[in-house]
Amino acid sequence: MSGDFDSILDVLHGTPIAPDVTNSLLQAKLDDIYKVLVQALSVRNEVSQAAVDRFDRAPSATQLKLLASPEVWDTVGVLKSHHPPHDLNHAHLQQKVLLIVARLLIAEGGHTPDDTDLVLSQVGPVFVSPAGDVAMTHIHGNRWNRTQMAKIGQTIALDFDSPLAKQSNLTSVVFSLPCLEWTEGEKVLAGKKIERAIAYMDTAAPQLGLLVRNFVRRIFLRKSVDIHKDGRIVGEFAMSSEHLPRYPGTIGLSNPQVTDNTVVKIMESVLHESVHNFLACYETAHGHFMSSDRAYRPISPWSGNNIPNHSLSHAIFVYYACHHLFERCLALGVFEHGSEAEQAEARIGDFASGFLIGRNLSSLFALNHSLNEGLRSVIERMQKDVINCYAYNVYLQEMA
Amino acid sequence: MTNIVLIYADSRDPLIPLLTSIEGLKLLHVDQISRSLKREQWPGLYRCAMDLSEYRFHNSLIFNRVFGLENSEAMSLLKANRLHEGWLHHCIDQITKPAAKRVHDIGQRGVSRTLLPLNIQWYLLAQALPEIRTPAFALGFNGAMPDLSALHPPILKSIWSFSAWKNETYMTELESRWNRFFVEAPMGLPVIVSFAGDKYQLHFPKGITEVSLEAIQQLVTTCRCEFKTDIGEIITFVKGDELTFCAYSPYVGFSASSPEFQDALIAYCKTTTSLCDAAQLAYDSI
Repeated sequence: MSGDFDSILDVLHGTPIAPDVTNSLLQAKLDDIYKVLVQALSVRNEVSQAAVDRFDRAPSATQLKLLASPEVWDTVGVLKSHHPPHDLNHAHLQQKVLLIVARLLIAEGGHTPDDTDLVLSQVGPVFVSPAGDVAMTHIHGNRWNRTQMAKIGQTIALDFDSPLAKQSNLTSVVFSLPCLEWTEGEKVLAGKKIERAIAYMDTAAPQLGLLVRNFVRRIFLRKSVDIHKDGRIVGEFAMSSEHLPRYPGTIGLSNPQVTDNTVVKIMESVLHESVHNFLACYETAHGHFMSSDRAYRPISPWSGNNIPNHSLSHAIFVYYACHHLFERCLALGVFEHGSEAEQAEARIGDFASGFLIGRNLSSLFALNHSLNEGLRSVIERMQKDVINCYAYNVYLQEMA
Repeated sequence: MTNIVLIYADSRDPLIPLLTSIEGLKLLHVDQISRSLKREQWPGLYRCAMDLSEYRFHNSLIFNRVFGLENSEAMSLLKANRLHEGWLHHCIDQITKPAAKRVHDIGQRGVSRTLLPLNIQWYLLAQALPEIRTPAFALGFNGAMPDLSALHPPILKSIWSFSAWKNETYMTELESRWNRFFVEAPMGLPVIVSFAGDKYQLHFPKGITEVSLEAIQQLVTTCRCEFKTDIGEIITFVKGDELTFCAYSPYVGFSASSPEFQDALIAYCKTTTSLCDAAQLAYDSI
């Protein structure tokens, strides 16, 4: 574990060095993705060579989009799991990488007829770009119609309909839910609510709005419930969110269109998962905070559940960030509706409760190695920060 | 004269009738505390305004027996005030801070070192006593079944169940389906060690067996230190020379009826209050 844990707080608080810290983390992540991609394509056959050559010839901005693409990661993940190198399936998967490059080039406008033929034969006449920001519809020949996808915060794509957004994955709290079709009205409503959540964040703690934009480029949205006017409920109601290590730079959200999934709740969910993405980038650059051994699991003071040590370490940062955001929102009075302020007041108490446990949070860990002293120090600092918010709140009246 | 205060949640706690025989003992139910918690507007969060003068917490001996909020109105009051359970324990921590001695650690389950899940107890004991034997176990994650090949035989357990070592009698659905916890059934005969302060008694529920008193003493001392507690039961199994530490429990359901434990408890109170009185006198004379 290298790295200065204090720099995590620099980003959360938006200190002058935060941009440099963020840039270095993002660059490290992209470098890592590139290494993994090249390694996955290291088998020298015609297909893999074509894929690597194509990538190397693409403009650097296009390369970056590709490296940040969840579709690339999905394919690379599968590539890594296949052996031996001469396996025909491996060649097929390398073909998929070429396909992703082709789709991106079509969306960028720098494609060839071979790209069109490849996409039409493998995907069909309609697809979403790997960055999730453009929908392409084939017109004829080599011509495609580009439609800009919904974005929030000017940079984050909302993905309602891509194959990745519609996948089924029983290990995912978002993708395990049933997948119902979005109406255009629901998409607009979901977009507006998420946009308002980001706007509150930008007003109260702009550095956190920046964190979200830097570490989330696409939000996968799952509609799993239809609540009809007559009270009928179709599907499964859940308000879940998830950071998706398999797809760096993305998060998943379920049912933002539902009334109970309020703007305040969405704001919390988006920040929560964004901080996980940020921490994952930090660990890519500097190593894991601690062992991921799961035999001895401390109890989270927030949920009361037994969770791996590593998850607890992330949770401390996540709840610290959420507490900071909500504290700023309340202190600055950013909410437009009284009910939103009430929700935030209720929820901030939950965030704070874990920091007021009467012992150092770092004493909760059950590790088979020593806790990194830098991490211990930062956890103590965060705990003191939150405790200090409430030192004057606890009023006990002892009558003589 | 050092005051003794019992803060409790469960009126069925077998320690209560043992302590109420002590003259001058003050009782404070957790509902009295939770009723006095009032939610305030930001930047306040809660206000706990109750008359504490009769308890004289300063320099007192506190038996904090709030291990759960079942059978109390406190949990519903907390929910009505939209307060996380942690705030109640934070309040208990604040009001008992002036005490000379708190018999147990403060906090909700898993935060209080007096009420830790089994595998964390084993972790802490192994750190303090590397030679101690604890049960082998396997813990699943996210619904996956763990590898049970090293457990002979495996029994499915709750991490919070300290007394049942054959078949688990109660488990939540989360525990039975999601993060399944299997333990190797301990070998030998159970030996329950009840202690109050540094005095302990041995109980043999399934038959008497030889046990090293030196090992028991070391175990009691270590449990008091690691679990921040002066009262409780230690569940062990003994087979031949092998002693297996299975759990520390603050519940004294097994030993409460034992006259020796009762005597030890009274002696603990007398000794501790005397020490507190002496410390206070020494402080006052400075």
